[in-house]
Order: sequence, then C-alpha cells, then structure tokens
Amino acid sequence: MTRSRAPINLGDDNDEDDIDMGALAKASAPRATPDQASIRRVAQESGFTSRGDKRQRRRRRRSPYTVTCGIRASEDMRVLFQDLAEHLNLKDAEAFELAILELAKAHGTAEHVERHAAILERYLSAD
Amino acid sequence: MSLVIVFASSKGGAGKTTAATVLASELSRRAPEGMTVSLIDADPNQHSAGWAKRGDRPANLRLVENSNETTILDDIETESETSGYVLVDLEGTASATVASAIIRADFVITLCQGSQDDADEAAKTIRLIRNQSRLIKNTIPFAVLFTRTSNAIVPRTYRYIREQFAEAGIPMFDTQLTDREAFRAMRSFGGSVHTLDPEQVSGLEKAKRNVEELGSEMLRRLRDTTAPANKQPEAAHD
Repeated sequence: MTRSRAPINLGDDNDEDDIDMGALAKASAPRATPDQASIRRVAQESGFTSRGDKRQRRRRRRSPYTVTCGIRASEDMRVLFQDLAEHLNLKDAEAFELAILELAKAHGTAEHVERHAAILERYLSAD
Repeated sequence: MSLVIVFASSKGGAGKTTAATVLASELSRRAPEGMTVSLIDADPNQHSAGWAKRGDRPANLRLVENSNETTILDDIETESETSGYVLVDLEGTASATVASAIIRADFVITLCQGSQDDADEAAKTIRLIRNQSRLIKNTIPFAVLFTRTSNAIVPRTYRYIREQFAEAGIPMFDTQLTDREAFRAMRSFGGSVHTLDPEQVSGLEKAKRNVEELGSEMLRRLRDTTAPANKQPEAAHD
C-alpha cells in the first residue's frame, strides 16, 4: 500500500491569498484629526513649513530709491561725499537724504524738515 | 473605511513617485472585485498624475490630481469614503502638505536611496511622524523603503545607513525597490509591470517579483499595524 507523505508547507507570508484586502481595509480605525493650527505648529517645529509662509519670507522689500539724480559736482566733492557716506556706513542714497535733512535743519524752514519726515514715513508704511 | 498610505520624504528624487505608482498598480491588481484604489497626487510636479493618464491604468485605480496644502485633508477624506486604499504621493519638500497628510495616514512610507543626504532627510521625516503621533496621541506606523538599490552591489554607505537605522529601532522594509528599467518604462509607457511588453522592456519578470514582494510586505505591515492589539498610544519619547 502506498502511503503519501504529509505535505510540507513551504509557503511563506508572501502568498497573495493570505491577506484579505477587503477585511484589512475595514480594519482602519477612525482617527481624530487635530485642527489645522496644531498640525501646522507641530510641522513648523519639525522643520516643515507652509508654502504660504515661504512665499512671505521670499518677498523682497522694494527699494524706495528709484530715481537717478544727476547733480553736477567737482570730482573732489564727489569723492568727499562718498568717503563721508562710507565713514557713516551709509549708502550714497541714504547719505544724500541725511545731507538734505541737515541742510533743512540748518538753513531751511520747519516745513522743509516736516516734508523730509513725511517722505521717510511713506517709505516705512510701504513695507 | 479605507487605509491611507502616505509616501513622504522631504527630499526630491528619493523615489516617492516610483514607489507610489508601483504600489498603486499592485494594490489595484490585487484588490477584490468592486474595490477601488485611489492615488492622490499632491506633488506640484504631478508626475504620478502624468503616469496615470498615460494609459493602461488599472480600471479600479482612481486618480486625484493637484491636491495641495489647502485640499489634502478633504481629498483624503473624500477618497476614503469610496476606496479601499488611498495612496498619497507628496512633494519632495519639508512642507505643511506633508504634515497634513501624515496626520491622516494609516501607514507612512519614507523613502531613502542609500546616500547620507537621503538618510538625513528620512530622519527629518521620521521626527515629524513622531511629533505628529504625539499630537494625536496615537502611533502613526511607518517604515523606511530603500529605493534604486542594486542587487549586484551593496555599497558601504548603504550598509552603514541600514545599520544606523537598525540601531535606532527605525523599521525598514525587507523589500527594496531595485533600480530597474521596468520602473522607468512604467513611467514612460504608463500602466504597470504586468502590462508592459517584454519585447520592449528587459528584466520584466524580476521587476514583477520585486513589485509583488513589495505589495505583500505592505499588506503584512498594514495587517500588523491595524490589528487592534497592535495599536498603542504613542509613548512620550524623544
């Protein structure tokens, strides 16, 4: 009489039929979703930022210095002006503004000084 | 109810879209009759969507295009109502979209090629997953999937990274997504490794085995992490 040997189960977990995809999908438990602010806060703490925030950061400040003012000057006076600006750690445009303010204070009227302050105020409010 | 699988890495080119399209096509193939699988493309580059629209997409695979920071949670919820499995392909940046998707994930796959840069970015994503787990007081299961590996050569850097992850207790897929022409061809022709023409694409049988192994391991990991006994509150750890 022929006896058959017991089969050896050499199948592994890779067998596709082992897992019922339908039942598995139903096993998902509902999960409370925190509010957007909390998600965003934790994300930012972990170095994950909003694209909106990134756009905000990348926005460049617009320079108020948009006009070229061609004043004739002697070469030495131009060099002196630039040396003064460098000494004060100012850009040429900023040194020019300061010079106007000092001129207004020393030889101009109160209105000149007020106009100078109003122009600076407009720069700041435009940022 | 459905299971949400999120592909996340804060680095571009880690293999998210390849893994997402491969797994989406494999789960669609295995899904029982009547079950749909959804693939949400939340990467502004829309490469997953491009693949899905190229042709031969499984009939039961639904595509959601142009998901973003504002719509991602709603898109996941909507697809969860009708599909058995929802896969989310994210952009390769450290964005709030990634964080929003992770919070809703039943499983996060973080991708890593065997390089130090990829490993650093994977670690960053893992920190986010852990922080989000603390926020919802529930573990968000995850594992690292190594992509574009070679069967012939195991570089030292790759071995070192695996050792470092193992020492830190970071779960890793046993299956790796090997660098194969078949996966590139899938993106080029559309469809899956099962619909590609063996006359046009070499190594198709090995690619099929690779995809099937990944699909099986994914389902095993989902089974192990969604079983009630395996769901544990997130412990407070660093």
